[in-house]
Amino acid sequence: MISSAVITALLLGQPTEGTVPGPGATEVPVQPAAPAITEPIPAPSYDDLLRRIEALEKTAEERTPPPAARSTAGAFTQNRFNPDLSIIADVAGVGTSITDQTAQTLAVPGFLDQSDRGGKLRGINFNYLELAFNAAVDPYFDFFGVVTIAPAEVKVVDVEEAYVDTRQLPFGFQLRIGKFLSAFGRLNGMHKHYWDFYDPPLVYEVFIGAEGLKNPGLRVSWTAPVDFLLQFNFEGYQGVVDESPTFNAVGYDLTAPNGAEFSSKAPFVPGLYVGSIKTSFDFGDHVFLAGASLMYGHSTQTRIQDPPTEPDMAFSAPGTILYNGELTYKYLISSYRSLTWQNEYLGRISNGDLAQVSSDGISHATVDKKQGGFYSQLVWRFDEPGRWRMGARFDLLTQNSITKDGVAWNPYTVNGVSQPLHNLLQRYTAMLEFSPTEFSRFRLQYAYDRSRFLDGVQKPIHEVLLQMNIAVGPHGAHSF
Amino acid sequence: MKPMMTSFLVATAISFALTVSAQAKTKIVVTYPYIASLVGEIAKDQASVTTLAKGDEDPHFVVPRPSFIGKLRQADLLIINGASLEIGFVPPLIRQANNPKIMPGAEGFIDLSQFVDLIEKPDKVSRSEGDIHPEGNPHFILDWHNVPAVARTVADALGRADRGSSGVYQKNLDAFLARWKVKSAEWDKQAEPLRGKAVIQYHRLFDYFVLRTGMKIVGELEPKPGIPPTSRHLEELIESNATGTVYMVVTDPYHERKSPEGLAKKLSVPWAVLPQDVEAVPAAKNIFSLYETLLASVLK
Repeated sequence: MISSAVITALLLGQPTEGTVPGPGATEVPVQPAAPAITEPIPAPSYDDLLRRIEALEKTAEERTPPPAARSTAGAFTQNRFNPDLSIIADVAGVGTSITDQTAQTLAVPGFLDQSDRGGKLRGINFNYLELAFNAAVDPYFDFFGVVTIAPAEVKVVDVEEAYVDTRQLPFGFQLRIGKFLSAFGRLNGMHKHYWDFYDPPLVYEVFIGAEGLKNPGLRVSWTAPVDFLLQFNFEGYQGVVDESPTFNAVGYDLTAPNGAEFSSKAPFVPGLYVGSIKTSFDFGDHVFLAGASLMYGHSTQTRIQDPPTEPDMAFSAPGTILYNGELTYKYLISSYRSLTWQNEYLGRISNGDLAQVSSDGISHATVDKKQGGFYSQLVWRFDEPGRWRMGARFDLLTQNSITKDGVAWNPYTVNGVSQPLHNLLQRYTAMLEFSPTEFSRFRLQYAYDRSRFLDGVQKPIHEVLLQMNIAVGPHGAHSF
Repeated sequence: MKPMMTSFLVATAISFALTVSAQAKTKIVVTYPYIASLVGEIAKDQASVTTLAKGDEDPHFVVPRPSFIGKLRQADLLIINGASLEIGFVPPLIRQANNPKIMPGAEGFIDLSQFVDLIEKPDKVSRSEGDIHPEGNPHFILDWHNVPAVARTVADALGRADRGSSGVYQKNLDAFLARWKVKSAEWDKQAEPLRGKAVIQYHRLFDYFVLRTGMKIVGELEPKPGIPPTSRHLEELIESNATGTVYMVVTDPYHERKSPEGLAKKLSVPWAVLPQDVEAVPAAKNIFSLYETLLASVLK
């Protein structure tokens, strides 16, 4: 072992003064020579070198011991087939202008009866530990899996994603099978740690849910053979989604104080479909990304409280549509600096039966919802090594039209009284981010939230937080 | 009516034929301009080449533009540098391109780093050492004696993707290698006066070039790969290199210039921006002028 290194060094590493590594040197690897180049050794003659090689080879042969019996314990170990494993952890210190108890009862009237304050409790929030796996299954499939070990208080292990992608389908098709995040919109398909802000935009929170839409299902995607991006996705899902403000696809039972009962028929499954189209063009260093998505399914929303503080109700609307339009513009200033302006509009069209409990029994009415809103954000990566970013986001719910049997009505009630419908509910967010490397990141974020109501009265909230996110293991992809 | 019909048919036939012949051209996507230059030398006009990165971009931080997906979707061949240089942008693009021809493991996926000997392979890998490459230093193209092996790999891949023209590729390769032999000898001779000279570089980028010219590297401005220079580290560099021992400070076109310039001033030595790729600086127009520019920059 030693001798061969020495020989190589002697042969290759010490070109003598005036000796040009001529044409023959073309194939000569540089590597073994590297350490030797700088050491001053007197130039030996060719014959000298040959003699030394022979001598060294002889010693090497003499010194080589007979092959010893090696341990066979590892004969069947297959470690090298293990998948790539990354670990992502997220923790944040949070300060808010209202107590946690009050915060959870905050409503976004007509959109949400309660606010999900996950990750925004006062003090230190351990948000998640995520394990991400990927490997080729065989020549036909790639596997991806993400397991989330979520907050200590909930103690849940959630299979966030687990799916296979085909590798061999022809004509630009790809099939995805398993449980995965939908390609709806720009943000839904992205894991949280790729988001530019700590929390999802308001429109995502009120229509899809803070966790994004992920479900067991199947996706067919087709990429067009053109020099820009043109991609179509069609997804079919089971449609039973926990904690989605729009699609839950669960049956429900209502019981009135006078004993009247109503049981809904559970929605047909699989029953959630998503279609999306994405396109992207470059004009030099100016990149545009646009897309449109549509989600179609059976919307069910219930408010069943025990004990009831407000009257129980259940809404069932087959044929509910969530739609989305997205537009992102990115200016690539240099290798490290960029400016990104990202916008998404989300809307909901829903028409169905509302069953409502009152002292007289259960009444039914037709409820029609047309709601929507958008966010617009600007993120600037501004320093030369690309470690600092700053950004601002504006959230606005622009449309909030709900009618019950043709009359304006708000499902948000206080002491049984339907509240006035508000639109133009808004939130302002700003952030400053420092990433020492691609594997660690600190983010300071401030938000002024004017979208929440407490007991029918608008309750503006100030939030300040400092987040740390780390990624350990294989190098992740840079996000666009 | 009839002549119109005929002319319409003829026009359709011609446009169809044109489409077919356009499609028949092998579509090649490469990650860096030097690979495009080599493909150009070997394929001449037999292939259409798309380059993802620009020469003056940091090769580690190429933005994965979504339009690259459409280009990869149509590729017959994808040629990458390899050794994790593209790890941040190529894998997600391949995953979305839905093109089995260029999936890792397929015949149309070529990783050039597998055909050369890499230096500086770390014994142990830990991210506490910065942005290190477990496979070894990936900037192997900066040694002109690595080019023939890379050119042969490219010609071989082209020949397999387009068997009808493999003879032409072989002929072009032979012509290229013959020219290269002459040029290499010239460059070897030009590099002679550089032997033994010490340089400080920004990132572990020019190691292959420095070793080939017989120079030696006495430090990097980055305390660890990928970590920006700190004033403390720069002071250490100045302390450990007494005036007169360092020949030159070299950097790349995409990092900030303040630190290398400041260091060079403190050490009273010249500093230079070296191209790490074709098109990194205006003078480095192709694979030949890349080395001419490199040598000229350090010989002044």
